[in-house]
Amino acid sequence: MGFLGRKGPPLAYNSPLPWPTHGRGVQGEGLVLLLPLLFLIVFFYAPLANLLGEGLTQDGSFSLEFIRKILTDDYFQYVILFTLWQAFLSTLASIALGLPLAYILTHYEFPLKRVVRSLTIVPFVLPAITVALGFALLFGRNGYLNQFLMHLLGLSEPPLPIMYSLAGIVLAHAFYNAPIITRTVHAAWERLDPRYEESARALGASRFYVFKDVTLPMILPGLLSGAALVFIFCFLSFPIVLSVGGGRFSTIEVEIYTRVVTRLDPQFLNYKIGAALALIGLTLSLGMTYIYLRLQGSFARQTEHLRPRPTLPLFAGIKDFLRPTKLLLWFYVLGSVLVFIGPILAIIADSFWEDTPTGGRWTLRWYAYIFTPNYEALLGDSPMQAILNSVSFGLGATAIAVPLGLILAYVIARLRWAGRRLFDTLLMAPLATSSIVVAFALLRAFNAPPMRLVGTATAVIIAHSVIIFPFVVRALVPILENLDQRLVEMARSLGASRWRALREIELPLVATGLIAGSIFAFALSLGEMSATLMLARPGLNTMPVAVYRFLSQHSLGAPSAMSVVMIVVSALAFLVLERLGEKALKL
Amino acid sequence: MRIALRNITKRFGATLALENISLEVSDGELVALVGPSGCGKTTLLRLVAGFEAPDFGDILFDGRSVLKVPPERRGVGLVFQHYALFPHMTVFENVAYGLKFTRSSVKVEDRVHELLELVGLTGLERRMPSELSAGQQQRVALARALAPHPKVLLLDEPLSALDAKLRERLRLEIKKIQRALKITTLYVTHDQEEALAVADRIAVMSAAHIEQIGTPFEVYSLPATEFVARFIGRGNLLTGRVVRREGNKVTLSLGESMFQAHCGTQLEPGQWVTALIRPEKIRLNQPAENTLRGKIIGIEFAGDTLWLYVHAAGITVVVKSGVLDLREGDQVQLGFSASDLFLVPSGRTPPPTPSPRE
Ligand SMILES: Nc1ncnc2c1ncn2[C@@H]1O[C@H](COP(=O)(O)OP(=O)(O)OP(=O)(O)O)[C@@H](O)[C@H]1O
Ligand SMILES: [Mg+2]
Repeated sequence: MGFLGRKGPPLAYNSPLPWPTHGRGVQGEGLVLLLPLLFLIVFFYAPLANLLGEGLTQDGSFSLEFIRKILTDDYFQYVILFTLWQAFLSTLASIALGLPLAYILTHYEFPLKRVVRSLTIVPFVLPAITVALGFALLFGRNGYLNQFLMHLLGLSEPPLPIMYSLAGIVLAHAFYNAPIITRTVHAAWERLDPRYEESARALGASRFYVFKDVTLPMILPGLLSGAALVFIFCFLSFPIVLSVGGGRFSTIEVEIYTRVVTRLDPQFLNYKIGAALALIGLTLSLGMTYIYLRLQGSFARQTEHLRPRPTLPLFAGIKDFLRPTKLLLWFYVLGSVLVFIGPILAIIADSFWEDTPTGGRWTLRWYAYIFTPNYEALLGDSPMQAILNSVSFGLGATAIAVPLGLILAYVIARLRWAGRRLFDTLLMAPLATSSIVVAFALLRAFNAPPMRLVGTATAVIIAHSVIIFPFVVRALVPILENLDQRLVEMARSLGASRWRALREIELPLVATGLIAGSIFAFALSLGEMSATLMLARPGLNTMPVAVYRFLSQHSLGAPSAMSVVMIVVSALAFLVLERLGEKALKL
Repeated sequence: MRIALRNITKRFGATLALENISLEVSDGELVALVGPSGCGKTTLLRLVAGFEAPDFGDILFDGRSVLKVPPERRGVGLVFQHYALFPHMTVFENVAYGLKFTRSSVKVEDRVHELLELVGLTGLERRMPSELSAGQQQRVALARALAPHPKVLLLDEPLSALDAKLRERLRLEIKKIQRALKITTLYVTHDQEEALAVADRIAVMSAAHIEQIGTPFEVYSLPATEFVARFIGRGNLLTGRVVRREGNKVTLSLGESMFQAHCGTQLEPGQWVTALIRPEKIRLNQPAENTLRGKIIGIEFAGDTLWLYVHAAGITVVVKSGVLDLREGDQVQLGFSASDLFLVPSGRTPPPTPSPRE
């Protein structure tokens, strides 16, 4: 993942101002550049400040009462510690699952390697709730795996109690986040010039010493920064904890959610507690984000004249196949296929299956069901409406986030260091804020006239825009950075106006990146569940919310069909991204 | 330590990187490998270091095959173009790294200081590589390679990342150190001038094979092939035809003129040949066996000399002139002796269709 925080060569553009001037700019350029900031302030910073303020006041005056209450209460202490603990375990599991793949990708050559490498981007576009559903179907008490093992071993009880357990949460998080570890470590490893290792060997170091003294220290920043990011994601995770944990486990996010959606709250006490919890959670995740950015900084060294790393064929004859190290590798491959592909296959299988008193049969009725506008009590709405909502919210959020993100990315790509750090931090804040808190803040800020947005589609679209905005910017910055500023200067010296240069030189050059960024944004919005769930009213359900509501009532079939729809959209998004080239979208 | 390469062939998939290479380096000798990019220089070095295995052939250190010896036990010191200093270790730790794996009575500190003194970097022990200039990094890389008393030193374009001035200074220093330690050295470079300056012998490589091995004098003055003649030094390569031959004297037609030359090999009238005349062998406006008149079409000023481009009778020749008061457009007479017109033995490639050289 290439991040905003990374250091690069000094930027060519050396304006004394923190924004580009290009000699004579276009009139109104400055105002356009302010739009993304305005958007962030109105819909993120101000509501967030307002919300955090609620947690710090009592009867209108400043008070640490709610913070104290949380920090001294046994239950809340347990919630906070559990949040950290599950994030820690999930990070370890992600490393265990992701590291070997990074090793394989770096050192071996095999068919479809490129595809496997690009597949590591899938967790970003695959809705978390489908992962939860897949886990329920595969690992649940009545899931395929337990059924199979009971049948095979002749047991009367399901042998693997994974669903509704900490192990299930950790495993699902690992499914979701191991690819991040793979990506960061693989990137660091591939960029490690093998001549460092060769120098060490020529100096007399055996393979073991080379790994310990040279390889490991040099890929460690990649591993640690990946791990820090995974930790943040797991710390803020909501759909998986809620669904795979089955309500037995409360993290900070789950706690905020349950307090806010509890409507029997005459004194708004739960809002106060929720706001204080949000403050504590945000402090922790910002701290971790800071660590993450620091680790990113230590990536500074980059060999310019990289010698490509030699790779070996992964499949090299039957004798090689049976070598102990290779056998270990196959074992890993098998396990990861089960964890990564299994849940998705389970969803697909379930979407075509219907239980009947005499056993079961293949069917298309779930698809027919979700594509007809029939009222469904679980949703207070029709499943069809959820699909339509998902699409229109996704389009709306993309239409807001991509143009604004493009402007901000454009500014950031041309900033020198001091200004750049500032923007990085401004942008990291929404990333370190959970979707639950974003929605909570909007909920509290826009619940009264003149800006009464709560309960409208606009609120959901705005929440989605805020949430996907940092991802869009991060995807676009490297693309704009690679754009050679001299091309614009050349065009202008040849007589093109600033706008013409923008239209005829810059935009065509970033078009691919923009398309990739838009698809990415749409896929992210489509999979968003947490904020939507908080803001949703009957009529505002989206596909992920619908899947969650079905799943929490143990109603299967329909959610699987709906998940297949989402998976297909994700897969299409993935295919387009893959076609446009990995370079078009560096995460 | 003597190194011998015997009929080495190495392929990477479809690419032939080295083809039937044989090379002997005697104890304490510095052999430079020069050649254009991609001709296999680095591959050759990596084979000697043990990072690649040859498809055919053998590599001997002091007469013993080392093909089965892993890199860490070959006792070679290695310096790369971009130094590959361990970025997470200080200068001291970098230089000391190889000492970790050798048993020696000398204390590590003493050995490190000895080497830093040798390369002139005393006092920089605690710096990180990123805090050093490129030239300093290069010296650290050399000190690190030399610390564990290697028997062979392998340098892969050690200076090509440096600017011209520094390059000239450091190549002298490297040569001095190599002489002092009497360490057998393979020095890869694509800069023929650097090779001429440092090497005891030069191996000129082209497309996976060695064109010529010889002392700097030999490859400069007696190039074995047209490729070597073109690659080493500045020169005028003229393609022409044998007109007459009497004993070891031949008359050639080059461009629109006739020239006298000496030849050792058998040549028949009508045969195409390539002749080399070095710019410094051509004298201006003096009587000589071969003369031709021409017009100066370009001048490069180089301090004590001028490089002249003279167009004469259908060919353009480069001339090194000590006379400085010349102008573009001046008419001059060029002269050189028959013995300075060196007939290049016909290479593997047939001579190209003759045409006035651009
Ligand atoms: N590991 C490898 N895999 C495939 N081909 C290789 C490998 N190493 C070298 N080659 C090929 O072998 C040939 C010789 O490469 P080598 O690096 O030895 O050239 P070189 O003379 O050192 O060139 P340069 O001056 O550019 O460093 C080249 O065609 C190169 O592409
Ligand atoms: Mg090379």
